[in-house]
Amino acid sequence: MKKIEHILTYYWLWIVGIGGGAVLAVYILYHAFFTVKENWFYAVLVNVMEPDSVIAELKEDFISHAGYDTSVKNVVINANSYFDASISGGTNNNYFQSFAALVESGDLDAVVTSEANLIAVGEAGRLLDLSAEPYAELFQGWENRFVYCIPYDAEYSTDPVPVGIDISGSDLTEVYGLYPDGAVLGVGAYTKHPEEVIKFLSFLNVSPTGGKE
Amino acid sequence: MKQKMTVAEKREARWGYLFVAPTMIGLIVLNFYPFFNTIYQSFCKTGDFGRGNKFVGLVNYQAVLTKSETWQALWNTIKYAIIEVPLGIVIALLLAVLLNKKIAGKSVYRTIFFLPMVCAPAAVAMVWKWLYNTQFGLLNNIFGTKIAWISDPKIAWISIGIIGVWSIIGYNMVLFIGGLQEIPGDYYEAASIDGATGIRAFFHITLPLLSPTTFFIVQTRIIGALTIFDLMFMVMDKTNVALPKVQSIVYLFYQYAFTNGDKGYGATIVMVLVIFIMIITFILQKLEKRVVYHN
Amino acid sequence: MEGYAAKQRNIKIVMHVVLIIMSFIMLVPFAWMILTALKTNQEAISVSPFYILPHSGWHWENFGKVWQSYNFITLYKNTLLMIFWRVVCAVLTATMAGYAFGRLKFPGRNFLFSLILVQMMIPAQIFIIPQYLMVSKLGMLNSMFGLVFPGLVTAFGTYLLKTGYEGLPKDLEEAAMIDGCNVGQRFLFIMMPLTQSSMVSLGIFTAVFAFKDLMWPMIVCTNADTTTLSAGLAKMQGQYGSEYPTMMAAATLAVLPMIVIYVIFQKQFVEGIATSGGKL
Repeated sequence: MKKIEHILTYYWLWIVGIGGGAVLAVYILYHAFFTVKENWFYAVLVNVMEPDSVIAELKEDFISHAGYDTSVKNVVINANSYFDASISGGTNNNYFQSFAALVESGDLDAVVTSEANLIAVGEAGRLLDLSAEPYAELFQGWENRFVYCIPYDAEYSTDPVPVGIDISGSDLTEVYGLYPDGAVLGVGAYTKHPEEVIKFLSFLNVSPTGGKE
Repeated sequence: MKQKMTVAEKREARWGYLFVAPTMIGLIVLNFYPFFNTIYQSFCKTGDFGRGNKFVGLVNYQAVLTKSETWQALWNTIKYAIIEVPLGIVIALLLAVLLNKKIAGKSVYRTIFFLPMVCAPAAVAMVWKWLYNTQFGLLNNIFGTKIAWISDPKIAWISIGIIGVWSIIGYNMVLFIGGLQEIPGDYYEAASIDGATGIRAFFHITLPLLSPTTFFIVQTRIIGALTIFDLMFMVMDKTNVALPKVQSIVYLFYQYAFTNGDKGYGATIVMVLVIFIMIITFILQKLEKRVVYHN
Repeated sequence: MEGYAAKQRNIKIVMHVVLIIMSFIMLVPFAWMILTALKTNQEAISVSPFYILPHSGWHWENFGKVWQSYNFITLYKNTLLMIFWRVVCAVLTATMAGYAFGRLKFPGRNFLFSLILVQMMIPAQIFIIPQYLMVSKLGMLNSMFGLVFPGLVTAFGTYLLKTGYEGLPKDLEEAAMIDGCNVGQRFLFIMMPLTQSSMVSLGIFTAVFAFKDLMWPMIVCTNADTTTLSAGLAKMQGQYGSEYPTMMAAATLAVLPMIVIYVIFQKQFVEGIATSGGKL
């Protein structure tokens, strides 16, 4: 008994330290191996003022439409994002920084916002060039819905580059009441699954030719 | 390090490594890995629209160093530091010394001085914008003037500096109070027997014994002031005509790396800043031995 | 002796005057926040300097509106937990490293310490994307660990504690060395208790920075029930846009726990005085 007491007095910090470290290591390893990390699809809806419940409903509907198994990968519809790159100082906020982080980490698949905002984001090169290889084929046929921008980077191109797809009047507005003034969808520059964007578009009832319009 | 270490020294070194290991490993993973990434990026042209980075050597450095905008931003940052660091420290020291005396309502004062630290940044920005407003602002109303506090390029840097001082006093004060508390009371008792009280005790005991803390605050505040960003972010927007004369170097970095998406160029600006601060820090560290009193 | 007492009293009065003026200056934004929270939107955006107080009654319902639209209990809980873990991690790692840098000799000490200084020189914005990627790869998005992640270690705190340890007298440790204490015991039983007030300062700083950290919770926690106060309320700013009264009501509710934490910490400060007997 005395011996245990002695050990506790002199080595408690060691015990706590090593014990804590071990628990932390197990915790990290557990998460690193057993949690769902990958996404089926990650979309950011910018400047949405509607309550979270609408977004949750949209997400559920999309999951059942696309038939995703969410125990394997996640679907994220992130409507907690407010910025406007088209106005002065409109990117001076934390939302824009986290948006940039999402794009550059490659997590972001699609972004929906107003046309002016999307063009401004596109100019900085954060969106996928829909006419460039290897994804040009995927977006072939959507030309009459394309939204173009002229990039800042003159070396890339001095001609307009398609960076968005006009989805005004889609189910996003008709069914969920979002973006009554029209919206444009862009694809993240480093996306890993652009095919899913097509699925999202079909879920929103947008088709290459005419569609709902 | 030429001579062989004794057993005791070796043992001490082992403990030293053990104690710094968690911090160093954490810093390498959390901060230095991203920093090396930034260094690499500064030699690259950022690939827009999902293309990879292209190695371009020193092109970015040439562009950054030849633009007058960069030097202006660096000069703006230095001007800001010249206002914020000395004023913020002197006022905070005065308050900390007052609050360390036996004085009624001490904890109330301390809590009040702490409040600006936790106040919502939006509230802070609103108040200052209102105070500085040209037409309706409190300052212009009181003095009967029509000064454009934050959009006149000649004055704006001072106005921003004042907000900086205001928001940093609380931080410095908390540190000073901590430092004051570590001064053993017997020093003052001994001094009062020799007849040193009040102002003289302050200069002969408090200041020398507080010098490590003061040096620490000076060092960290210089670094903090030179990397100032949030303040500009809140108060200045792009339409402000005074912006070129006020924007700090990190603000410039943000405009390039985040708003315009040119990370290579932004990374180069960061490198210029880091090298500049390193030089200043090196000089300060050399000075430390001279100005700081060690018992 | 009569003149001495009078002089003392005058000094006290001057001190109070200085402190009251400073308090007033420091309090303005806070008072502004609360007053705005009680106004109508019309009143809040009017810039006339004489419209400081609400005209059309005090609109306490702004607070009710905010309280109802957010699950404040969850937000408070997440925030306090995040602050708790960040403070524990920061104080623990920084005390150890600070002691080593301030008190022990080992090869490479100056080099390693210069790395600590370099970390403080780098603008924090460049860490965001790589750190997000790390958390994302670990599968820790939307978790407490993800929230605490950037605060596991602290360069600022290490430097602060190093300064604290350097200031302690040499003879203390030498006596313990003669008694046969090893480095670990010296650190734990003799030196660490003496740097209490530095540790409290670091605790306060870590708590404040963690509380104000808006960016990080916003990016790693997209769920409403895993995020923290600042990030949760940032959504409110977006949602209510220029509705300043609701925004300020939210901000006021957010600040309350921080004030409570500070008052608790402050007691610690006062006790620190009692043990070291510091007075001026």
